[in-house]
Amino acid sequence: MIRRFNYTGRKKIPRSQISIALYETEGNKLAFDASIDFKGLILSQDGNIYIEAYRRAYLQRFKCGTVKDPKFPKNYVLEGLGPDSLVRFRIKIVDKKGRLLAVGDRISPRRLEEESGNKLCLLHADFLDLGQLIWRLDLDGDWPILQLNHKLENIREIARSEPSFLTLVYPEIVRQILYRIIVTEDHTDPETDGEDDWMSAWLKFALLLIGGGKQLPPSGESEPILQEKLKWIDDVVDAFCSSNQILDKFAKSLKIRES
Amino acid sequence: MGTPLHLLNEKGIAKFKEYLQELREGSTREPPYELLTDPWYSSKMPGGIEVEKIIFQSKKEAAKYFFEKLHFFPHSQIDRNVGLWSWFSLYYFEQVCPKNNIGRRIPGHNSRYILDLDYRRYYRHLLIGPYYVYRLHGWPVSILLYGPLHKTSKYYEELLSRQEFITNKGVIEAANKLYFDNAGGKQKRGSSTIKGPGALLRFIDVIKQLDLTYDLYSMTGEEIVALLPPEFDEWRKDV
Repeated sequence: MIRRFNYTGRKKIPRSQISIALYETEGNKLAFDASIDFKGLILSQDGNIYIEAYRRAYLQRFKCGTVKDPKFPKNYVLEGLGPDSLVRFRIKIVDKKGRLLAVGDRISPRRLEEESGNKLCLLHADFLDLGQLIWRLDLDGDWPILQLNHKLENIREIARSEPSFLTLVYPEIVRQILYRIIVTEDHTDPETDGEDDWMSAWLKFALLLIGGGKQLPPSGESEPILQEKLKWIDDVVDAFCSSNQILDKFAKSLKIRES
Repeated sequence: MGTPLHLLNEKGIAKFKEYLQELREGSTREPPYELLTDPWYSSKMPGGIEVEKIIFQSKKEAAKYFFEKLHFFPHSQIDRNVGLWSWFSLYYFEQVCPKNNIGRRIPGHNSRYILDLDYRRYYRHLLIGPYYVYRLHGWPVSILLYGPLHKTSKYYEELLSRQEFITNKGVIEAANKLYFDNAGGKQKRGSSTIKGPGALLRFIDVIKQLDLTYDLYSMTGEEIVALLPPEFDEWRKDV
């Protein structure tokens, strides 16, 4: 289990108290609105609020007043990012000496175009040139990303709703992600690190899928444990396919194509 | 008289890759410069920009040149433009892959010449890396951009490959203050070893720790240098 120490009393701003909405402007730019609910957070009223939008080496930082007198962004444009860009946010409350009083990181904004409440998105999509590959998973960043080849017309729609893509690709995505978490990283405790940790979020999702009070496999690298882990991943993928009626959807899509 | 800026298309990039492979297999053929303007392999970049075959004395000089040439374009047209950066690599091939002392060119990984959009290899491109450093920081950061285009230092590789470092002006300025010798125009004597007390890898570890406590983005390089523990005194003494 990964343990993290917090010697300085830095507070965590819960994701549920941060609201960031991302949308495309008329000029095909990306803009956002943000607000933070400080309820329950005991913070110095003089603390400066910063909001950082980041994506790989891109970083744009906005000073948003103080805790006492916040000036939350409204229609702030993220210069240099295209309307489809994947971007995350970080909120910092900083004292006069530059010390962090509170942080909320890895915040996924809501896309107003695809409003879906305050649900945590387990898998982000990104669109780029993948040569002759149609898709691949990037699990080396701070959240899983499904990379899709932007050279394929309508790839966004295909990945979202084309039955053959959904039925053939998504079970494999679930398998690859769980393999990375449970086998490669040997991460088997969903309570570690809470909501900012994608591995724990995926384990919780997997436990919900598999249901029936089934436990996660134990941590370890021995052969019997490895076999137990692989079996557990198979069970989750089966449960994913059952709950999404993968075979039926695929068969139906074939029939539609034949007719 | 310059050359109109072009983009290599997929066929042009494929030919360029073939050439790189030929070189690895021992070919001594000269670079296929004809691809640069052949409409079958490339197309003009809109905007009417021309570039010149300058011999850059350092990555610094190249970074400034690319920045000045490209600053009219929106970043979205530059940052992921594989055709543009591959064209630049071929145009300046003499500098990104010069002949060695026995007259052979030995290219490195393709990502040094052909922009790879995978962020783990993005900055390996020998031209976009320096350009990006200049654009992000607004000045040619010496510790990252000294030396010729085809040579990358450990500082360049270790700092550019860490996104949270390269985007942080204060951290990069601190590294520059600690490890770059302004008088000599290169890294400080003894700093080529990146392990050991106060050396680059320790700097990276300590900065990661400080980042949990301080908002390093709001600090200057000088303020960050002052936060470092005594093991950095050797490097800090003439800052």
